[in-house]
Amino acid sequence: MIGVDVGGTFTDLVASDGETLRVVKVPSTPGEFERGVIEAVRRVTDAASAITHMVHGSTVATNALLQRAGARVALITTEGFSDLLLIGRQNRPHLYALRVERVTPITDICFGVPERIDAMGRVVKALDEGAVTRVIDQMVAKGIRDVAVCLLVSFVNPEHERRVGEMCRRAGLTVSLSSELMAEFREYERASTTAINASLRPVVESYMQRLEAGLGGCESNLRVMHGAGGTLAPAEAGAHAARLVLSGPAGGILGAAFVARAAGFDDVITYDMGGTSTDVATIIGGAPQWTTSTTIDGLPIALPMFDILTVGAGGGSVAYVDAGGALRVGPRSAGAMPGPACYGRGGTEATVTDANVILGRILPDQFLGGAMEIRRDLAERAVAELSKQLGKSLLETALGIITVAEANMAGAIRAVTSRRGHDPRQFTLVSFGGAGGLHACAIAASLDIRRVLIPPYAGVLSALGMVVAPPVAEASKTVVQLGAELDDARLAAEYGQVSGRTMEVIPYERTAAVEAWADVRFRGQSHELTVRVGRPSWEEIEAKFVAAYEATYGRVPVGRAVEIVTVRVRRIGRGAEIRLPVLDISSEPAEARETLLIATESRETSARVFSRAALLRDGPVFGPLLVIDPEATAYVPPNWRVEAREDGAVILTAGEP
Amino acid sequence: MTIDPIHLSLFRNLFEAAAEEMGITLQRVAFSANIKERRDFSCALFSPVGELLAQAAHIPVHLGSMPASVAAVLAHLGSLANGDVAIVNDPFMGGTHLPDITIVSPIFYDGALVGYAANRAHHADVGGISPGSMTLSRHIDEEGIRIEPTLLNRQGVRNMEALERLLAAVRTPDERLGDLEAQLAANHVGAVALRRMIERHSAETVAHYGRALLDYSEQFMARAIAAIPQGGYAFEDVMDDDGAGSGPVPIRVVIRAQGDRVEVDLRTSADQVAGCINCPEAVMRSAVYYCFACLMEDEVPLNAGAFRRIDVLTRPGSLLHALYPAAVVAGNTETSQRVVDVVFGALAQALPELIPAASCGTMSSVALGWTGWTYYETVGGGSGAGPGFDGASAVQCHMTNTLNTPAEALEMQYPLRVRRFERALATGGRGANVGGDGIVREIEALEVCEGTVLSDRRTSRPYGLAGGEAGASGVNDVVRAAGGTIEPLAGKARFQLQPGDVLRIRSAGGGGWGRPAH
Repeated sequence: MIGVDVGGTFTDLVASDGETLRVVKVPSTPGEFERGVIEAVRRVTDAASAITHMVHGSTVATNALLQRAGARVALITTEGFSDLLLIGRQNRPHLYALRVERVTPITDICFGVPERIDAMGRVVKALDEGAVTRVIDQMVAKGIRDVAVCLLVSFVNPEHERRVGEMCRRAGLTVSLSSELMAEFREYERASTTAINASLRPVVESYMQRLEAGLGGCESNLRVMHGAGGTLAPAEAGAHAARLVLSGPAGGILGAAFVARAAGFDDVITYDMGGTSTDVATIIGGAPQWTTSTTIDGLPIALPMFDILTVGAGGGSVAYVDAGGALRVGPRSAGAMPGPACYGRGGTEATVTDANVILGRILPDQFLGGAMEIRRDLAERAVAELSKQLGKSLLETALGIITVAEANMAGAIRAVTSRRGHDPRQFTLVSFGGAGGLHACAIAASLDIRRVLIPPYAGVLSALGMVVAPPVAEASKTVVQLGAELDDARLAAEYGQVSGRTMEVIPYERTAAVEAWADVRFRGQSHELTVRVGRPSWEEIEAKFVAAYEATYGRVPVGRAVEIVTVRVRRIGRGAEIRLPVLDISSEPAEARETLLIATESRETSARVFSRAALLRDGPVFGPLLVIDPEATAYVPPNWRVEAREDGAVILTAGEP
Repeated sequence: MTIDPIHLSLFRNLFEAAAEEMGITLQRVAFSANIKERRDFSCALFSPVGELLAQAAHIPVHLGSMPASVAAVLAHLGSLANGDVAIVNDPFMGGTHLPDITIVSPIFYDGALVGYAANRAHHADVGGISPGSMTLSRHIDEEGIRIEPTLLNRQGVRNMEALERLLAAVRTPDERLGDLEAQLAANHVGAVALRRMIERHSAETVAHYGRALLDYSEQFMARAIAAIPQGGYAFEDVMDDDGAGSGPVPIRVVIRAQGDRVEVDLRTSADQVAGCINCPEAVMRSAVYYCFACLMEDEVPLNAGAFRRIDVLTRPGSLLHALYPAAVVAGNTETSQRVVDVVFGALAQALPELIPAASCGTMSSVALGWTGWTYYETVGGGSGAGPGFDGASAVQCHMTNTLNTPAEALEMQYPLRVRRFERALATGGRGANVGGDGIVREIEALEVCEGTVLSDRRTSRPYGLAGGEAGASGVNDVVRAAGGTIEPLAGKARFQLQPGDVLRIRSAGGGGWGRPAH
């Protein structure tokens, strides 16, 4: 069992035989990402045939989308709507800007064809096949090979869309049909998703082919992780290319869920802080929360994906004094180049990482296991510039930078949880990513969260998540237009049909569980709540919806009719049984090292430095102290209790002596 | 207490996050598409004396008018008691137009008043003579129910008399009640956020940094204003007509910049008119504030401090400072856009390297309905080109930023079919940088309904700058199912649609910038 996650910088691999884990980290190979994967796989196995099962997460789709490096695609839509992608929802991203700048659509080649289906799915204007043929000729003449088709109301009646798809395929074009990707209403979001899929498809297909060729003969064992934590066979990955966006982060969330569950925590906020940004997600009852309103770089992808909020704040976020005299941190980042001043790569602006170095919370000789030199003098020079502007001491300024950055992130976490109607106080914060542990306790404290968990294998958590995650298949269908026709019998039939589609991915004999979900609203509302339902009946769905509504919004309006908008099925396959190995404490030095650091109010305090193994042996202990890993450092403030579990998870609890 | 730059930054975030959180709640709990899909609302926090501390960036036309509503509530009802909730929509008491209903809730901590939460949402119908309450009115009473500042809750007890009066006056009382409940929930979330801040930082500290943030924003605006070369700059443009048969209606401004203060003199604009394009003072103020907010370099909290350096002069009884019983429904959506055009037109003389040409200059409001249903939307247009950039096509400009209702959502809910929603090609003004194109939107009626369109720039055109040409003006008409005749509509018109009739709205393009190449 192998999990491989390709990130922008490193390709991580976790291999498990059920009892032991092996970890491999190799540099990623942008442009030909498969080379890094093959290299990592070679390190753990000589022959591909030895791989029983491999789950792969890749940044290939995300990168191609962010760089708009996908294929040149055309969109075919209903006549009268050819500017669908340009207009979007008609709004502008910045309210107070003299120059109106909108996100660049995935393509500006769009064709409208005469046809129309009404809201009930009836054909009110037949498809003009002659017009379709002419559009195909134009596309072929332009050298276009990939086409997205999104006709109005195809989520009710896909007949026209399928016919257009057929004609395009016959002309040798590769087609993404909106009704096959997501049978749901809102034409702009569906068209955007379909166009993104069409554009990423050749990128993903060629990558998968190169990867399979390189791995040589293990195709049948290879699965690719998608953004909702499920997996796809390599052959179907291209057809669902848009789903591969957020593939890596999904693995991280699954890894966090797994580790937290092992420690007994099922309600979790994950907080993955890297150099330029921080990803936040929630896990409830062990299940990562998902959404169908993901936006990547301003472009909607309306497919079910883990609900990940990205905040533009990380270790590299730049601190500055604004024209009103306030100390601000981010959203601009020093990035990887030049990076924080202390990296010694020419950066001169003070960053969050520089402040941590000055406060003694990052030990220069221990950064990334000592693999990277940290220049405290350069950090001081950069922060000293700011302290002059602020009229504060160096240490006060460094503490200020940390305080502001932590407040930004805490605010973002509060927004993502309250938007979903959750109270953050009931959660455990699971912190990972290079910079997460340095701020986790402070952020938890400002959200009244009392417990923080730092997972083992934090540096390869995505790859771990890919090893432990069971396969998941999802399908959905919008049914609200059925109105009174949607009685219990019809409802059961619709669920049956949608469930059948998930079985194409996970056959019955490999199914561990089937979940029925419904998007429900009060008639007249235009946003839905997605609720898990038992037996698919009106009574059951209404009861679950009303309970969820009350939990989310506090009050339930009386006497309003309920509408079932979309039915969804999630089919979960059987996953691998994995236990994390026990930490080895035999080789730990008897005495923890001591260091000086600044906890609060600019005074140096003596603090011990622990490895996870030393913590397991000596814990529980109380902050201030540092927990150091080859990948990351955690700072434990005064009044936080910290201990390690046998599997290496570090658990911090607030508010005891 | 001194002002600490770190705390200043913290409180900036906290206040803004609180207002944002209110908006998230309102959008999610509301019932009407207008609030949920189109996001036609704003949320804000105020100090105990009614100074705007933070407003979530939703709709610019609410910028100067939310504070005016809160001020009217406090002037009329005095300081609110714990458990009170005030409601107001009176355009002559800080309101914008009647559909915009504002809810004001006091926030108490330990028995002491610590601030106010307020939000305003556009309700799809508040009665009056036309469905959707967007109407060719000549008197405010034709536009719907007018609510002077009134207690909706008194010390936690619902004022049933006030509520019933409101619900009796509207076409869709059920939906109104749902949306009002959502507005109360949003204020509740704002109160919780402010109390959380006080618990952590003390009431004194929160109040202190609330005031400090006013000075903070003022500094940014002072810098933006100081960048305007000293002098007077005049500009004039027109509204096509008042919707009651007279026009064009001139709007004139003289901007006098002196150091870090600026005076915006709109007193020589036309008198109040018979039709519905009159601007309540608060709406005019919002438009002026919007223009200056666009000049600030950084994204700065738009609070009361941000606008201290701007003196706005108006003449009561004029188009831009309308008095009772003026009809005002389109002042908010149409005239406000022209106020922006004249202020930017004047500023372009002072800051030619910065200011773009005119945008579409209209919100092209469309309301359709019949017994039991009302549908309302605004249609975007072309934005103006500027130094170094083309205008954007088919987008909401200046004083609004509401989303469209997806055709698929609209058709599920109403007996309507969207026939076309596309860019109106070549309607942007030519220039070295071209103006953005307007929008063509065609809606077919599947059942009999009546409708109103309130639009402008149907005869006048959005100006170009620096030699750029004006954008094309818009066109409204109806294609009748019977005989296929095309019936032109005025910019502001009421009409009936029979099944199969198609309403066509084409909005104006943005102005071009710089001389076009040949």
